[in-house]
Amino acid sequence: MSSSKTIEELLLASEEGTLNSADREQLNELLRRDPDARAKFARWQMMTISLQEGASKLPKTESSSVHAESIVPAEANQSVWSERQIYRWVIASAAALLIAVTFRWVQLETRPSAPVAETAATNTRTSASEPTSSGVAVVTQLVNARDAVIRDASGTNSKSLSVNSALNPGSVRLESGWAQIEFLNGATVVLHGPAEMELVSAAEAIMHRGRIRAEVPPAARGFVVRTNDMKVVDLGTEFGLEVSEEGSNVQVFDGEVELQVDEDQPQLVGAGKSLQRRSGVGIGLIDLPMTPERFVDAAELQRLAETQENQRYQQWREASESLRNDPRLIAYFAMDSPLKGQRFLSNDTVPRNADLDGAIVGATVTKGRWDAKPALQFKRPGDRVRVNVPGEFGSLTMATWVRIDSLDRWYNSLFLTDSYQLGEPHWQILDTGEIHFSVRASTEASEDQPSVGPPHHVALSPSFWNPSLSGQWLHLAVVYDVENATTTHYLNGDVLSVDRIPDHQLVRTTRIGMASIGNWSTPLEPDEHFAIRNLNGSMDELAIFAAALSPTEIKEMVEHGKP
Amino acid sequence: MTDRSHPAANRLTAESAEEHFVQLVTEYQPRIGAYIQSLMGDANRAADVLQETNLVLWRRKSDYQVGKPFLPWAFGIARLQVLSNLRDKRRAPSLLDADVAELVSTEVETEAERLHDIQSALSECLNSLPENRRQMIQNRYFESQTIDQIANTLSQGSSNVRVTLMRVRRQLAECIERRLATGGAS
Repeated sequence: MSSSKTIEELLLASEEGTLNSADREQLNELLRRDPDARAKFARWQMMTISLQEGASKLPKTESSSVHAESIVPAEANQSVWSERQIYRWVIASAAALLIAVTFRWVQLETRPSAPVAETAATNTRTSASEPTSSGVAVVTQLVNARDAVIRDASGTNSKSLSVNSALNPGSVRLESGWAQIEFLNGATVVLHGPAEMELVSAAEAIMHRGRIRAEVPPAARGFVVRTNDMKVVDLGTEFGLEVSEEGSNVQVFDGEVELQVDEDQPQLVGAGKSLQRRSGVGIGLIDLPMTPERFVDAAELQRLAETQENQRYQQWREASESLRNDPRLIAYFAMDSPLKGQRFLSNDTVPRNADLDGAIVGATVTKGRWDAKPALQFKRPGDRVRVNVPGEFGSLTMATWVRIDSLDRWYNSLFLTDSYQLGEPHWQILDTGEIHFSVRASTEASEDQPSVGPPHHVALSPSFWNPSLSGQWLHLAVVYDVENATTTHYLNGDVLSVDRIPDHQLVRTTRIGMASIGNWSTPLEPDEHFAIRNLNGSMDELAIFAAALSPTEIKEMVEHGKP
Repeated sequence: MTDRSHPAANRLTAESAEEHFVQLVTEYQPRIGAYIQSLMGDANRAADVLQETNLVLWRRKSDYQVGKPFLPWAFGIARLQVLSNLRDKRRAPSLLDADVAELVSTEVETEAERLHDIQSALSECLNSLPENRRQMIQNRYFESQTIDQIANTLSQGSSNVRVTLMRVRRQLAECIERRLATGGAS
């Protein structure tokens, strides 16, 4: 009986646990004799494992980092855990709304780059992947903010602040500019740099130095700010607090606060009062003149933000104007002309080449990085921009500003050539948040010969995505460098991964031809399920270069174009 | 384009090299695990071997050179752990004899390397299956039902279910190979 069993039958039985010793013997004999059986065995096993892991939803990301601690000797991770546990108590329900973003607009320079690796995705994950289960406040505005970072309580990790990022307990530092921070209990604090403020909980902060203006609506009464020499309990008001070498100064603009110095009884301080605690022992509070103009409020900050936005837009425009003359450009869609009512997307390279204009299909016009700048929104499966880019190139660089609403498809298109022929690039994002770039390396592969070798080399970045990035403008770039045989993925000017392309898969001549922005138009397999690859999001700039841009150049694009 | 090369590797301090190493092991954990389980057959024993492998990886981390491909190195270490487990006479025989495990380890390595691609392709292929076949896969693998249980639900004979299941698996395997080979999945 056993002699008639195929390798599949044997493996199915083994999964069931019904493999007897004769079967087992046969399986081993088969594998010893037959190389074909060995290949089948390996494939079968891998599919079984994939299926067993697919209970929730395939594909599983490989990023779940649950095993990390198991390989590290106990002491290495213990401190981290105990600190985490300390923070567990923090308002879990409100925190559920906030997934921490640790996203770096500022301090791009300080980020350690990912090491060169030879296989796809051998790269270190960016710090953006650290999951956070607690949050006490949110950054809601950053204006001219320089060196705005938060360090966690252990002092080992520091992250740049960005708008909408959730903050865990830790110490916020701001070198200059302003940061508006909303505590989850409802208090809004405008922090003036240079300043250092420690977030203790959703209703408590400690000022170490610098100025804040706090607006505390009735719902947030009881918000506490401490300094090293006083404690201010807000009773539903607006107040300013400055900590300098001369001591702490509290100014009440509206309502009243409860002020406690040393072990004294708390005293009520009403609107129009400015009190200063001199540093030194035994010196009481003295009256000082009110200086409300030194404490920017939320409304004023909003105006500052708008001014800054306009400046940023103008700055980008200047950079964009000069970029248009870059001879390395193949095509450039600045998307800065009014797009409304227009069904073509002008190619903005200088001198003008109207042949490279794109045709807008379905995609609608929406707001770009700045209110005044348009963008194209891709929502429905048909939405796309069609382009035709003739010619042959070597190295390629593609760079885009994109706002992703969500990664709905297995493959979410950025820029894809129509079919996928020799030398054609495909640039897209997997639903796992990994960026996928490949250039077709073989002319054809038939179904009968699946073992011809992989048709391409895929350069896969580590996953950069988490849902709190949804709706934020991101700069993505990929550099396909023929000379150095590398593919480099960038996020906001930082290297996500460098991938070495094996010799036999390196394509020196690249082509684009008919292609789509934000979608895939595949004339070959129209019925294929996976052909739906539309982006769910918006794009407001796309540049394609026939050259490998340097990291510095990519970073400059981000600096000039960040919202 | 002067600063194209990446100075990261030599900028790594000892501490961040350690972190980097942990990240590599973490990142490739699914592939290393799949490699081991394929060769071991038995999930429980595979889990033990994975733990041992992780320990050995950690102990020998200084042998690993940053920038070198991590997976082949890790698979090499995993293979030795698998073989020593299989050769252990005190244990019950596993699915494969040690010499056979060694023989198929090359193929398994190739498959494990592309685990992620296989999973992506598989999810697409699963969706293209007819509903009843998809259901069967779901019952058997996602919900770990036995073949007899499935047969009862469907009021079919077990051998019938076995044949169907084999067909579906073959269909899926072909679909995956097609996806991976034509680059359709890219």
